[in-house]
Amino acid sequence: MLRVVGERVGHLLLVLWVVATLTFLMFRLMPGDPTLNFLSPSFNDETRTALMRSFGLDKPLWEQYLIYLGQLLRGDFGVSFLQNQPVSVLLWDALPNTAVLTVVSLVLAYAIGIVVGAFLAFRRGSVVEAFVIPTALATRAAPEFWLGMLVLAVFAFGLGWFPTGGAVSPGGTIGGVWERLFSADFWWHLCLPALTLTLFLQGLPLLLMRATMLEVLNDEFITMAKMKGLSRWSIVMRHAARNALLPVVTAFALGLGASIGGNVVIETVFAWPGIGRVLVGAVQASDYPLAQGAFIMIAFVLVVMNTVADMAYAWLDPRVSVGARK
Amino acid sequence: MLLSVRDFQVHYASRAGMVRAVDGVDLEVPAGSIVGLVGESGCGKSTLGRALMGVLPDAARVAGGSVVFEGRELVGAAERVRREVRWRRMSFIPQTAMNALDPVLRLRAQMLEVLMERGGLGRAAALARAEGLFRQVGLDPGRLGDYPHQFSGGMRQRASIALALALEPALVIADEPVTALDVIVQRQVLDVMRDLQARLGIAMILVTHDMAVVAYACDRVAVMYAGRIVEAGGAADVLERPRHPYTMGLTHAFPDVHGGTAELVPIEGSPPVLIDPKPGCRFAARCPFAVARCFAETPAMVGGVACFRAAEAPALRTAAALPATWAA
Repeated sequence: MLRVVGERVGHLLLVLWVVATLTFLMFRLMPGDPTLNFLSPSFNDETRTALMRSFGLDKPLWEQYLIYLGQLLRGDFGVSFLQNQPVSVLLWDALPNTAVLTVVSLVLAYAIGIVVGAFLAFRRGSVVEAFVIPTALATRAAPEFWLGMLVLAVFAFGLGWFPTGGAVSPGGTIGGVWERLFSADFWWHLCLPALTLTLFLQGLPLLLMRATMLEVLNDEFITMAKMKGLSRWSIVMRHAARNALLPVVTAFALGLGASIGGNVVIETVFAWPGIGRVLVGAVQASDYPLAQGAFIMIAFVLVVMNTVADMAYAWLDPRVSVGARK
Repeated sequence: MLLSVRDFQVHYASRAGMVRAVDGVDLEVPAGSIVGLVGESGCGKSTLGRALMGVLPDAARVAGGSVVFEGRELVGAAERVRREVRWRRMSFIPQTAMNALDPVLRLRAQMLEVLMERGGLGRAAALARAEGLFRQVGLDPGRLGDYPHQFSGGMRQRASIALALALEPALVIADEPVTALDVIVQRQVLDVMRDLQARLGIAMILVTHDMAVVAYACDRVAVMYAGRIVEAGGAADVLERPRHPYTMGLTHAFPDVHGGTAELVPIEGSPPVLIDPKPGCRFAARCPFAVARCFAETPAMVGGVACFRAAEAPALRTAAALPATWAA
């Protein structure tokens, strides 16, 4: 088992190295000179060169790459061009916001999806199904930003129940992670973005749970459970749901990874100060270090969650052995 | 009689129409005997077995007839009565244990589930009983902690037998219990079943397509064709002196019933579609001995055989032994 975990971690590091390299190259190949954004044209050549040197941009590409890798290994993402703060500080500030939004929405979406999906599997061909499935599909297929705008139009501008954006009321301070988690204001601001993301995410677990449940209910061991005269509860919970949950759990772990980076749209619509918005701002401003940092952070979470999904599957399903030999 | 089935009907709804999968079956199972239910794929023998357990797919339903088990009528019985009978008095050994055991639960959990939820045993007693059952079917009780996929096909079948015997039923319905196994393991599993059946005095319906299995394990046999029983009687009698042409065909289509080396002869053609079956004997279209009457009237079961030419059986047997008779 230990060797297998080691192998997985090795894989993970390899993937991260590739991502780091691609990120590095991608930003160098993008059109637009970052110096244009923060170097005033009125600067003379000397100042310009001095500044370029202070950021290390005068060095050859390979040397920049080596310096970059070396710093990454030490957990140093560099200093933001624009905000003159270490990238790691900016990211650590944004990450909890994204994490809370993602985890809350995913847990809600999967809880609803699993229960409704399992219910629909039992009510196959019913009127309920004819309403719920198109609704679930429509909210899943609708563009996130449109869904977000709709939610804003109704609950913020129309009814005025919730704030229109941001994570704190005007005049408030965002505070540290713990302060945020225990602030009612923060949760109140979270409601609409989380609702939108939940609506957007619920389709997958709902349809997946329904499909796997329908499949499992046809399995011979369910027939056998009925022949054994077991109670409906035992048949559904111990045998059917337990087996049907396997792919859903994997989807959850993958969804967690994907959503961390995939919330860009919702964070923008609701001005939610998370990683996605940091990334969008950084790319627009050609803020290399910050954008790189955000990309690598997102990739890191994604790759780690993939590995977790793999291992969770092996742990839940005894038939899947991690690696060759248990 | 432990189990008496009379004019039993099971219908399947399909797009093409109603399929009469089991169409007027009579079957008797004396206490403590092994009855072979034999026939080719699609003849309705598995459906019959499942219908007796009262667990059918959604598309199927019992359409008529009577099933009297231990003096109680089961057709149309309340769910409470059915549940009382299920597994406690009548249990089931499935076709292949592959998917019949829940893949994500250890064998111990699956044994305890039956022993505790249906058998009313406490945990400690149930554990001891599970170990005893594993020993009885020739499995190491130490493997109770394994998952089904860690077992071989033969071991899974033994585990299924242990499960079926857990509550000491009076009747076990075994649906092709050895079909997926190789010949040596088949023999071992059949021996386990026969031995336990004799020791515990359990009756068994052994559903199979294999005449060799019937010859090896059964006291009595009922031959099923296209939803009906065409011949029934003592296993040795029926196998040695078949009186229905279909049974004659079956005995020549399988190796080693008599230990001889005779050429295997297939029965040409396939069974009729069971949607609105035509009148007449259902085997007539494939029967080398069919006469005009066979296509017009349905033969009734008389003296254990449903054939108009049953009186000529010895002559027909001689003819049936020649491969040329069965050439289409």
